[in-house]
Amino acid sequence: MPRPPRDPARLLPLPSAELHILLALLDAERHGYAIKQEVAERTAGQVQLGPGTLYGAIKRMLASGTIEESGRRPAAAEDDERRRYYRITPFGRAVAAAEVRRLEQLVALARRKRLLGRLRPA
Amino acid sequence: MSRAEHGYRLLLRLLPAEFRERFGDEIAQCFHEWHQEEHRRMGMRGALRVWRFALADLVATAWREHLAVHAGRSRRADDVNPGDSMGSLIQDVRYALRTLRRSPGLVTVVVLSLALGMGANSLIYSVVNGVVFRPFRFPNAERVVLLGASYPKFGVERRFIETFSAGDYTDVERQSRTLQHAFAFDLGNRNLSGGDRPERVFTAFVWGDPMAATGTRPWLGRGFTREEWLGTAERVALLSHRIWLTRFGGDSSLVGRTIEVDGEPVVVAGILPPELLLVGTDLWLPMGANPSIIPRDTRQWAIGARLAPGVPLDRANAELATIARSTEQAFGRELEGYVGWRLEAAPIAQALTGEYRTAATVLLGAVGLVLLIACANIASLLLARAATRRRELAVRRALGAGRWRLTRQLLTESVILAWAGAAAGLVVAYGLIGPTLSLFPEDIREAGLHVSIDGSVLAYTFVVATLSALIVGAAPAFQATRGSEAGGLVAEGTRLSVGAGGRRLRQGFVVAELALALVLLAGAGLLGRSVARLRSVDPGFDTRDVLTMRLSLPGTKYEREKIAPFFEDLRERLVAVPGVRGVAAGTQYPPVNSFSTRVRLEGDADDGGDAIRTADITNVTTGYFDALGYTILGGRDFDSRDRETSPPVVAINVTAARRFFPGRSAIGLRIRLGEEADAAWAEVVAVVRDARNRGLGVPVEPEVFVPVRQQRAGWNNQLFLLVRASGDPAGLLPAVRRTIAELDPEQPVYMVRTLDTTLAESMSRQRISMILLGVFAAVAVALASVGVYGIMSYTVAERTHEIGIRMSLGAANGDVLRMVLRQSVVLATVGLGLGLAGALAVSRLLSSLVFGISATDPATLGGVALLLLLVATAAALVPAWRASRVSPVEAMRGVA
Repeated sequence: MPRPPRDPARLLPLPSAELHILLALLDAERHGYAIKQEVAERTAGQVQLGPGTLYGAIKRMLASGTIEESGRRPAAAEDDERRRYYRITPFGRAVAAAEVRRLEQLVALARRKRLLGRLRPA
Repeated sequence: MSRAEHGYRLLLRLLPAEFRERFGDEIAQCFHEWHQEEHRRMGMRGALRVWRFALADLVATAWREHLAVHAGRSRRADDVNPGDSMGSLIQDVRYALRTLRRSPGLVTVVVLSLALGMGANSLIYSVVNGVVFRPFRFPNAERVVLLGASYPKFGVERRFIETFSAGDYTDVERQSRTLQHAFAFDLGNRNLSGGDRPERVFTAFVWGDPMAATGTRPWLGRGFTREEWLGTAERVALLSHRIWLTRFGGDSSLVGRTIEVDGEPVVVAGILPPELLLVGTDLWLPMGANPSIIPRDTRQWAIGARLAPGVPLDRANAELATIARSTEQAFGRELEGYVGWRLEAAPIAQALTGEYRTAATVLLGAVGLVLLIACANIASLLLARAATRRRELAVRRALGAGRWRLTRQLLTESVILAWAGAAAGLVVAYGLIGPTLSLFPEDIREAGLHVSIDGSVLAYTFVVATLSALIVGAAPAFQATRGSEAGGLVAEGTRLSVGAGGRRLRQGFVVAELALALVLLAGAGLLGRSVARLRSVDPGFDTRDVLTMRLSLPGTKYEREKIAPFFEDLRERLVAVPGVRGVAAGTQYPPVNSFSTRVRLEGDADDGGDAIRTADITNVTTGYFDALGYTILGGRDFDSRDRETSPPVVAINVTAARRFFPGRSAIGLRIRLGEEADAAWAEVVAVVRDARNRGLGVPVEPEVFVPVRQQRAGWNNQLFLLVRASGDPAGLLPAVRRTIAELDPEQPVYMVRTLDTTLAESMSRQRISMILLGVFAAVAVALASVGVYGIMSYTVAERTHEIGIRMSLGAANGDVLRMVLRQSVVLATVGLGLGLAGALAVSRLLSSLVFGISATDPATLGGVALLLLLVATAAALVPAWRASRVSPVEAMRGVA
């Protein structure tokens, strides 16, 4: 279901849970718990999404069109009928990229102000 | 669906309907997988972590999503559709939150007192649930039974463990149609090696399939086969889930590998499921023998089974009675124990932790009372508040709000308060579970109980909180919405009064609070005095500074005749250790004897009496009486004369001497121990003072002591080492271990304690009840005194005008003080009278817990009533003093 093209910048700054979910979906379609596991793994357990938070975010992201439900299902043996799989939309990729760029600028600013120390010894 | 998921699903109702319908299943699924994974990885701790996290997450989400729904609605339409109940509910909630935010003091008081009340409830419910009502988590645990037997000839009343012979098991297994999957187990300890160090583990020896009976499956591998439990196949073992995790790191390749049990190779056939810990055993071995070869008078097994589908317990018991009668007919002549014996089944939870059942009921009742008191207090507070809000509510009614809508508004407030209190209470309960469990004796704690804030505790708390909200909210809601619209606007004006009706209701609450507090205080007082009496019982031996531990010499290494020399040798070495004042070993020691035997007297017309003579039998090394501080009243102590080859001798206690040889001196007379007809005659060489060998509150049993070198009847390779220290007994442990290692470096010790601990744990039922009831009674008294203070302050404020008039007419300060105090004394007296009636009514419940005192002891009841009267008067003092300081002029001007 193609949506009218929208400006990714309107969704910024992106809530951190949503950014983590988008990142988790970049390389594969996943169901809810798999998203939670992926996020926990990639952040070495630093970011734990509770089920409520996770699906609250999924609800908003479905509405904003950054992710969509995937029709595909894996083999019946490892599938559970309650599971639904989600994938990132092209718009979602654009939003994630825009958010990361925004963060990049923020980091650059912080460095210029010497918050993190210099990149090279002076 | 797992229990956890079920509980979690209940909580999903906190979420807005639309969101829940779309995502509820997925959220629950996600929780389920997460819970399962953490539980697998980290056991109970992991599961708890998940719960803590998920609860916070859910509450936050519920909050966010409700706000989102509401924001969405306000954007869509400026006015909420009046017929839309969801919309008006949100409005109620928002309104309630706004109102409550305006009175932070009230909210704090209410939430804190509810946190106390609810916390106590959640705590006791989770402990009682885990220890008494549902200690076992296998499916339909109430249909899994243990068989109990009573042997009137032995004076044994309904015992479950170490009770049956192998033949009894075969009878039940073959004949019963009402029981399925009958199994039998004997208990013991085995040295387990393979892993990092040898360890002594609690072991069950099994016939039959307990997993089938409990409806569980092995976590890994398989259960025992018939050939294995009959001993015709290679030796195998099952390990408990917890020992598999802690000792073998949860390594799944363990199944099929060989480990060593008492130095012999055994193949691990499987891992037991985590929920199946048969009375706390970590190692299961097949019995490895055919029951038919074991004599009928060897009674050391417990029998369990599952009720056949559709069979109620009493039908199974009727059938068991028939089986018992046919056994009696077949064997009663040669084995007298079977004469008049009874056989009955009880649900396994009742059989194993049944002794705590009364205490559990009492405590559940007690926390219920605490919560009721808290509720009465809060209701009284809210009632006062409702009075101040009458005007507001009247305005709303005048503007068209229905009475139902206003009531719902007020109830919404109390529900929010109650849930906040419940949440705080859960935190309190969570923090107190550990300390509470530490009150229980070790065998209960280590039996693999499942005590935690789980789904059922959450559900319970949720229900209790909602009920409390209704109790607390009903009266104020009713009071505040009563009467005509105009009445509230016109008549109330600026006066802050709920009128006579409201005051009487509040006084009623205070009376109820005092009554309930008295019931609790009476219970705590009775138990306190019982424990004090138990403590003052003379145990008959010296319990101070004695270190105790158990050693089991493996039969493969120590033949029967090597056991006594080992312990005598160890004794001689230990006596030389600095700080040791006395050493001995014995098969048991007071106050927890468990071995007894049959006694026959020389010159007795054999066994004419109704009951067989029995006595506790204790095999002891030399120095036993000295180490435990027994007084030898006549005759001589055992010494080096009493050898394997010398004529058999025994010592007996005073109770045995009186019962067996009334009116005679027992010294020099002869007795015979055990069932065998050709047992040797043993001469009584000493009579020792009675020691409480079956518990402090229990009459002393006759006891016979046999030198360990001469042990014949019931020889034993497991002895307790008893070391009396000249200072701190625990400090001796390293030296004792070193000395044992000098004799045999591979010999483990276990059950290391002190005699004082054992003695304290023998009173644990009373002690736990006393401590918890004491704490609850204290909370109750505190709450009730706050209640008295509240009502008296309120009354004084309301009567300021009247007091002013009285004083201007000549009443002195003292008169006013007395008047107010008199009123509180009247209230207190009514409350205490009702409370005394209540205490008498529940005294029957307590009678099995009290010791040495009647459950209706007048001194205790009178004492606590007096105490409560003093507390109530003290609570009224401040308001009374304030009343006596009223300035007549101010009073009459201010309120006019």
